[in-house]
Amino acid sequence: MNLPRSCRHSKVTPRGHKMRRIIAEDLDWSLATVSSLSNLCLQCIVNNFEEKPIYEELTSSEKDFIQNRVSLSLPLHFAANVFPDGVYWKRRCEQKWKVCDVSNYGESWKRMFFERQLENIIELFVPGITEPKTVLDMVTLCKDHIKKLNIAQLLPPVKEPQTEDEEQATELTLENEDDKSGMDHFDFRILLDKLTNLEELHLVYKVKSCGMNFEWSMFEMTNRDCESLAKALKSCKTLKLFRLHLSHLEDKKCRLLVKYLLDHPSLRTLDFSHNVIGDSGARAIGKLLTKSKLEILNLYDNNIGGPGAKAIAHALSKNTTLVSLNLCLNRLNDEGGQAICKALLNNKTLLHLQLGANGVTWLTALSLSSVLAQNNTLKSINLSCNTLGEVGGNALEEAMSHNTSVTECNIHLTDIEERKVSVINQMVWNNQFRKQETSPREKNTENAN
Amino acid sequence: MEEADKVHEEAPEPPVLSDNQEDKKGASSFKGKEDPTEEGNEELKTKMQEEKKDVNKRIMSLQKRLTTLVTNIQTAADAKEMERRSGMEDNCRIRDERLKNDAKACQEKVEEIRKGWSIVNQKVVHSELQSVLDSQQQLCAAVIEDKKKLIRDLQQERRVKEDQYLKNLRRLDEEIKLMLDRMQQQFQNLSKAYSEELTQLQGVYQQEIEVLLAKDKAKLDKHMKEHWDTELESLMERRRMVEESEKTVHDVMLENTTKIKLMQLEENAKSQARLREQQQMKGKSVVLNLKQLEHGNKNAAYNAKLEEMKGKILGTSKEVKNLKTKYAKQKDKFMKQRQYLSEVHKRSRQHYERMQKEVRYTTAADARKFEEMWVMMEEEVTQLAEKALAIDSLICKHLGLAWERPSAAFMESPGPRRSQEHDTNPNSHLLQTRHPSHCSQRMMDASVGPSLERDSEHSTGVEEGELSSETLMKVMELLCDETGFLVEDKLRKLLVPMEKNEQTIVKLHSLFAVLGLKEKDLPKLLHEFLLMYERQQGERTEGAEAMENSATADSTSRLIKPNYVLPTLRRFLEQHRKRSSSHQQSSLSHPARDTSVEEAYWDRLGNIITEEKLKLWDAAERELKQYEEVLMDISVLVPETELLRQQNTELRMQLQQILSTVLNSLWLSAEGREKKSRTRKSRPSTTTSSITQCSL
Repeated sequence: MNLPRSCRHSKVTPRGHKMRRIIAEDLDWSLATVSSLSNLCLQCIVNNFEEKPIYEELTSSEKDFIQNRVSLSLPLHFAANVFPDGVYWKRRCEQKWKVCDVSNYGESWKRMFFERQLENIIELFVPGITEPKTVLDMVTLCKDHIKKLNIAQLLPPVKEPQTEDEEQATELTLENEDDKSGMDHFDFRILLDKLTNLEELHLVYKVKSCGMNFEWSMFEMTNRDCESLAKALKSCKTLKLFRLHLSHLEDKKCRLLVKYLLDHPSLRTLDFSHNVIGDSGARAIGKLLTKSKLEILNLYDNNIGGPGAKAIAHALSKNTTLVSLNLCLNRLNDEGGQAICKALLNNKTLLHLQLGANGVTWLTALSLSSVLAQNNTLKSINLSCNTLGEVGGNALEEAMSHNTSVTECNIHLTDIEERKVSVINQMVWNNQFRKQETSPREKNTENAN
Repeated sequence: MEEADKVHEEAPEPPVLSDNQEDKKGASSFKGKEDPTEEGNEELKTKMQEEKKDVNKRIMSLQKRLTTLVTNIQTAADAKEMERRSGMEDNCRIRDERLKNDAKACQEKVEEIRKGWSIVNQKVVHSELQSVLDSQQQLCAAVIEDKKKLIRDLQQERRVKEDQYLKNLRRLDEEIKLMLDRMQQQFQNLSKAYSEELTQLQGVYQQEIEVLLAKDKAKLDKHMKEHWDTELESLMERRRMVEESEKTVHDVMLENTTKIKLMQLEENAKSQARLREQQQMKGKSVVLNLKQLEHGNKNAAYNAKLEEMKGKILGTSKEVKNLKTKYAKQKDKFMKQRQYLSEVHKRSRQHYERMQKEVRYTTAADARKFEEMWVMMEEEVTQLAEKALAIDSLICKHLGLAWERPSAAFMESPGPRRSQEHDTNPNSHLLQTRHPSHCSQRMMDASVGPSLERDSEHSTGVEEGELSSETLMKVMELLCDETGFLVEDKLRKLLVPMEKNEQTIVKLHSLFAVLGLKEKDLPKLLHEFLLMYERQQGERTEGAEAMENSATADSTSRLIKPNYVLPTLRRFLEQHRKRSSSHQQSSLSHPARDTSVEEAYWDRLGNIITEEKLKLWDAAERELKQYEEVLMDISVLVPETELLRQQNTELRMQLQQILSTVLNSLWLSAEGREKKSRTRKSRPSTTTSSITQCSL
């Protein structure tokens, strides 16, 4: 009776040994799921990455492994220098923000991470409280990666609740208030000259969701702001696009900005939409047009009247770089409209012209139709919300029948007859279709060659 | 405004639907017209292009629709803004005018007041002054009233504006919501349209791809088939070519070899002829020399001829030399080959012998091991049997039965194996040591082999058979004479001067060498065959007994007839060869075992305890178990009895104590009573003594 029992015993034990020979206390341990030694080594590197970063000497697949597993809480100054653009930055981005559209950032996760990070820091920068060092530290890390800054708010400094005595004191020093740095926003001079790859800058001087603390001063820039910004823009030699909108930009500040932008070497796009620029500001911009190589100018929703438009038209007649001009929602009237249309007779580069909602009448339409009859460069026209009337409609229809280049024409709400609108639209449509037809063929022939 | 937007929005939708429907129709018609022929393909291509154009158009219209919607919204917003601006300007203007009017009115009134003040300065009479002052006051009040009214109006206006602003904000909010909804709808529409487009396009392209694929596949198959056919043909051709060429090569080789041989023969003949010629030439030259002497003037001409001849001779001699070297080379080559082959042969033979040795050794070792194992097993079994018997004896003794040792002889005798081991002593004791009773149990030691045994027996028999040297010599002579044709002539010549005996010995040696026998086989040969053959012949003719008589009677008469010598010799040789081969085989084969004997032995050992005994044992066990149970009961009861006994003694002690106290008291009372009645003295004493006795 003893023999079989001992036999059974001896049979059971070796099998048990085989199942887990090395790790007795780990019940989940199984020979099949043990990863390979190389993986274990890489895991070890990952675990001790902060103390001993081994990255450059690895193969690409091993690099991927490490990027996929390294802790996201690594200090930024450390990670920025070690990891190139890749999975690691993707993970960091997705950890930080819900929506990540990398196509807006040139398909570079690292760029996206740093740009959004810097934007966050600047948007939450409170002058006088936040140390400028926080921004500068960040800038030293990311200056090579930032190409575009889209800053959606700039906070004013915190106002101390004033006691009565101080109120009296402030009344006394009321005249000097402009010179005080009390209401100034973030100073871009410390930032822009360090970002050596910056190409686009979008700025709004406003406070998001201010609620019942609303004050008009929150939505405009101070004179000192304007000056510092202008100097900063001048120092940034790589900037291609500058956009300052919804910031209550007046003539004076506009002139100041333009003064510093006159000799800018790389600026191609200027956008001052939704401001309050008047005729003198427009005159300054006209001067800028003659001096710089601007390609796109957007002055949508400003306060430019006839004289300002004349100045711009004068510059336009000499300019050879401007491609797009947007003067919608200004106060050009026929004076300005006709001036610009006349300038177009001498201009062969402008492709897009927008004169919507400017209070122009059939007079401008007549001069524009004379332009359209002989100019074959203009591609899109916007004359909406103007009272062109029957005469203007007829002139335009006549002009469009000779034109082949215009592919977009917006003449809604211009008191033109519905029939004529449809006729003009049909002509524009034909132009567009012709172009669509020719362009693929060209592509095909190119491919064939 | 919104209505206009809606109109714009709704207007472009129907065409899209109709477009889609048309497309569907187009797709279905396209499906119907699908043709695998080339014309069909061309049609298909044009159709495809049209389809693409349509698709482009549709996509463009879609995009345009979208952008127009956006621009519409924007223009609407712009227009609204314009309106707002103009409204604001109007309001400002109205307000300005109103303020101006007010200011003017105020100015007039202030002027009036100022005039009034000048009047006040002129007036001296108190009552007049009072009235003027009153009017002045009224004027001021009126001015103030006006101002207040203005302020109230403005405030009212502001309030209205505020309300308007609020309403405006709300409206904007609603509009934004509406816009969002519309955008959502737009998104859905667009994505739907795009997905429809996509499915259609996919279908169309799928079909196109399938058609193209089928076409290409057919083409490919065709091409492949052609290709394979050509390949196969070429292959067959090539094979035929190869066969032909092989045949021709073979023929050519044969021809060449025959040609070469012929050429060699010719060459030989030529060389010989040349040699002859040379000699003849020599002779001729001698004659010529003589002639030269005679005819000196003819010398020159003959000399030239001679030179020529010499050249020829030299050429032929060179050829001969070449041939000779060739021959030598060939010879060397063959020698080397032979040496190499002989070495190989030797090596293989050695290898074979080694293998045999190994095999023999391993078989012997295995056999030994087996033997040892067997012996051990037997010993163990006998021990076990002994044990069993001892136990049996014990049981019997216990039961009081008489016990007999069953078949003591069997138990004492060792197992068949062990006994055999004792017997593997010299063969000469074989018959004497074999016990008759154990003979059957023994197994023949196969390793010795039947043939060897026979040989040894025969050899001993021959020795004992008192074969005289005379007969031996006679037989040998006979043998030599009869097989004389096997001895070489040279040897015979050499042997002539020797004595006859020596002659026969030498002859025999040479004969044995020829037949491949050894000297030790000689006596065997002589007796076994040369004598026995005769005997067998006799047996066949006369009978066994007569033969034996004749065999023992005269050895010389047993000599074989000379005529039979050769056949017997052949037979002997055959047998000898067979035996040697069988010897080798037997040395390799495993010894056979006599299993039946062993089986019997093991059975007996197994049945050493008989069935009856087993039954007896079972019964005894049962009894003993019952007995044990009883004993167990007793052992349980023993402590109880012990306890009871102890209690008993304790009780007795108590009783004694009680009795002693009672006695004392009795004693005292008796003494008291003694005085009264001494006569009864003897009785209590007796009673006490009896009581004490009892207590004791």
